[in-house]
Amino acid sequence: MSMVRDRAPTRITAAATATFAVVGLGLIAALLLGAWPLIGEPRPLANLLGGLWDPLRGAYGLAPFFVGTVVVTATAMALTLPFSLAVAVVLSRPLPDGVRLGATRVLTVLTAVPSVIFGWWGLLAVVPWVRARFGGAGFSLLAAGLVLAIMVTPTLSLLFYQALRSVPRAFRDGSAALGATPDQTLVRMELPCALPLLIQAVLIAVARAVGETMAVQMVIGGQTVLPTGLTSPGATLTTQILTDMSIFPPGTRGHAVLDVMALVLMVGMYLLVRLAERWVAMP
Amino acid sequence: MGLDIHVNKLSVWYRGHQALRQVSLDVNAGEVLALIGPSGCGKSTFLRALNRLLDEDLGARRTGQVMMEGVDVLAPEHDITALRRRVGMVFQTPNPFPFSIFDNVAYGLRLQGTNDAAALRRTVEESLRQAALWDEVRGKLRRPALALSGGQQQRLCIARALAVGPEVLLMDEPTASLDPLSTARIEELIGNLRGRYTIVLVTHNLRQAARVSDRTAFFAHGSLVEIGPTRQIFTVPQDPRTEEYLTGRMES
Amino acid sequence: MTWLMGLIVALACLSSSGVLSVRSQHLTMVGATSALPYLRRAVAGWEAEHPGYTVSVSGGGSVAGLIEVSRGRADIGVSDVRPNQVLTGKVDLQSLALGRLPILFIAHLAVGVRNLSRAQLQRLLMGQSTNWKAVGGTHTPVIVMTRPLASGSLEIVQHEVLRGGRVTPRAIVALSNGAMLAAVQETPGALGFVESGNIPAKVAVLAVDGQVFHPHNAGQWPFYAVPRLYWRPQASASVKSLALYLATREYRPQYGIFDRVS
Repeated sequence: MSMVRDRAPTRITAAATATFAVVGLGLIAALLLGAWPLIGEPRPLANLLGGLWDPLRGAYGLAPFFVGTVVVTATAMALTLPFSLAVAVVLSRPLPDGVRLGATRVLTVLTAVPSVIFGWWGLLAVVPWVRARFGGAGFSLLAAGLVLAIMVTPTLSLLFYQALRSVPRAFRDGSAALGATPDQTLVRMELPCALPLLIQAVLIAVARAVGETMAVQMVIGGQTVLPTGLTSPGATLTTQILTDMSIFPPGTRGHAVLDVMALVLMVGMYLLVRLAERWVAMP
Repeated sequence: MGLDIHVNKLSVWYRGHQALRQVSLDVNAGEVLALIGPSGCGKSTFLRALNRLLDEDLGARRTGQVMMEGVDVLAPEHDITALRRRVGMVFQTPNPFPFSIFDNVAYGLRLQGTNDAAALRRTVEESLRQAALWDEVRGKLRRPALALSGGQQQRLCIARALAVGPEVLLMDEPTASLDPLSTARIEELIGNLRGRYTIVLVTHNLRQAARVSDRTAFFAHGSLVEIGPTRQIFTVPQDPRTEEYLTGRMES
Repeated sequence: MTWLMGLIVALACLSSSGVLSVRSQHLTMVGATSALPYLRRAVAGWEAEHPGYTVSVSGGGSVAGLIEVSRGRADIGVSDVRPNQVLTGKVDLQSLALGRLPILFIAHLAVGVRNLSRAQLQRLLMGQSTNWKAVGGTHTPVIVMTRPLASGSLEIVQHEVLRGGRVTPRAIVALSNGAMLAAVQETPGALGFVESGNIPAKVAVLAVDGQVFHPHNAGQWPFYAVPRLYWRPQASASVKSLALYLATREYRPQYGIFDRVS
């Protein structure tokens, strides 16, 4: 009896792992199978890396969306990184317990706000601001980056805070006892010690930014040619999947492109993770 | 050489609870003063008040004075960084940073803006020699500090504190987590440092207090019960509470 | 062993998802969102006349409507995109038109133009004229707004106005009719198109070749989408009855769907 009970958690865990493996591998297999008609064609790269997106005439150049994805994500990260780090540092400093608890609760609630809400807010506030400040349509990579930055900030702040909190109190005391100011302790001890976790946090934030679709689609403009600058409209791999998904039923050549785009996103994320691992040993 | 310290009516409260009551005592330059007493008697709090590490805790409040060379180092306007350079600290659990041995010892110097490689190397070697660790780590300074044994780590922490050139060394149960052999090496080291630094040593190990200290102070319930030459405290204590504590503990 | 069980359970879950749809007296409709408000009302009327039947109506777009109905996953597909081999395979769908849904060309209020020739409209939409000044308006860059490739109204604009030409790839893409209207209202210099049976607020509705849209003469407005109901040839009598009912309600104009007025 007790043996059965003891083994139940193991079985549940194993079943969950198996399900996860099947779903995950199934997803990758489905994407590969779906993408195969294009990957199997002669010169797939030349076609896929081109700058012209005219799928009804068979031109599947993804370059505008690569550029869009990279620029929007980089913009968002550049904007949110210093801000999120600042929030995390403030939270990790001596604070009245109530303030810290209140702030982390607010941040946690903010992480649950649906992305459509951020999209609406972007449409009402960010797009007009970009239009007033830089001219043009306002729908732009910059607007998308700004919306993403705001969206990712609560998550990233909390992850950064957790990373800084992982530095033992004894290290902080040790540093302070050697005459370090709080800022010196932060720069010379806490940040280096928390670096692996900080980088992991950044990767999670990048994954969220790269994968975000709806909020970005609402403010980016959806233009399918190579963007000429930060304030010009554009599209990302994900927004283009959303926009053109319904025109390509499964089994068509166009649908294969959507699968290629999804694969590219996964491979890109994998490469980023490997790069980060190479840079610093992950925990 | 070290430094004279005059503590005058030092009281500390943690979130309303009084941890230290009107403690007044003098520490003489170059001596080893042992602080003994039951857990929670305020010894560690007393130590943390001397280098104002208490200030890092929002819930702590204090009154009283700690005079060094005629200056009250507890005064809000006193430079806390300068104070901590003069008053080094070694903690209960060895807490080397997860850097290399060299970077650990050089940490305090670099804080002060010393970046000259030769000067850093010189001071690091000298500090490691003083902490009796040099012979064991020579040629391995780039290895991670956390790869050292517990006792070596604690001596590394002592070297790290010495590198800044302090006059006072606060030691908060430095051998509490070490094996007897490592403990013996640290005690030997304290003996070697005596005279050059003023050392305040908190310890639960009464034999250790008896072995290494010049004078001993007995704390109970946040108050200083008595202070005197170690030999006198351990043989003819003036206060019955001291005798109770010593006999109760010595027999076990 | 446990692994194997997990695998079997997971595979069973994955494979069963497609085979659970049970159909009795229940009919499903999927397709273009533009006709949705009208369809919801009309379907309620048909259900009242045919006790025992229930009909579900959902959006998803014209293309989805064609795909679902041709693959047998819906009884009726609603689409203002014409079916083609890619979408429907070899199924020879039958259809009935609901009526005409006018497509209006709208611009931001401050562009200074209310009337365009068809040629001017072409050049603007294709990105050949890039300033409203070129067509007699204010000195404002033109910002073309368009809809996704799957949109029926885009197909009609490209077919009827551009004669097979393409809306400029520099156009901003709005995902829905409503988003298009909101974007044109907000963006100085914007030019776009919406499906609408009445005159939308806070935008300039453009006359084309001197023809002015008005709900009273909506049947004569030259640009319109024709949402159609599609069903498979082997569909039941009740499906055909439903389609006929939906295609003939007199109150369609209240929902912007007009009969042709000759």
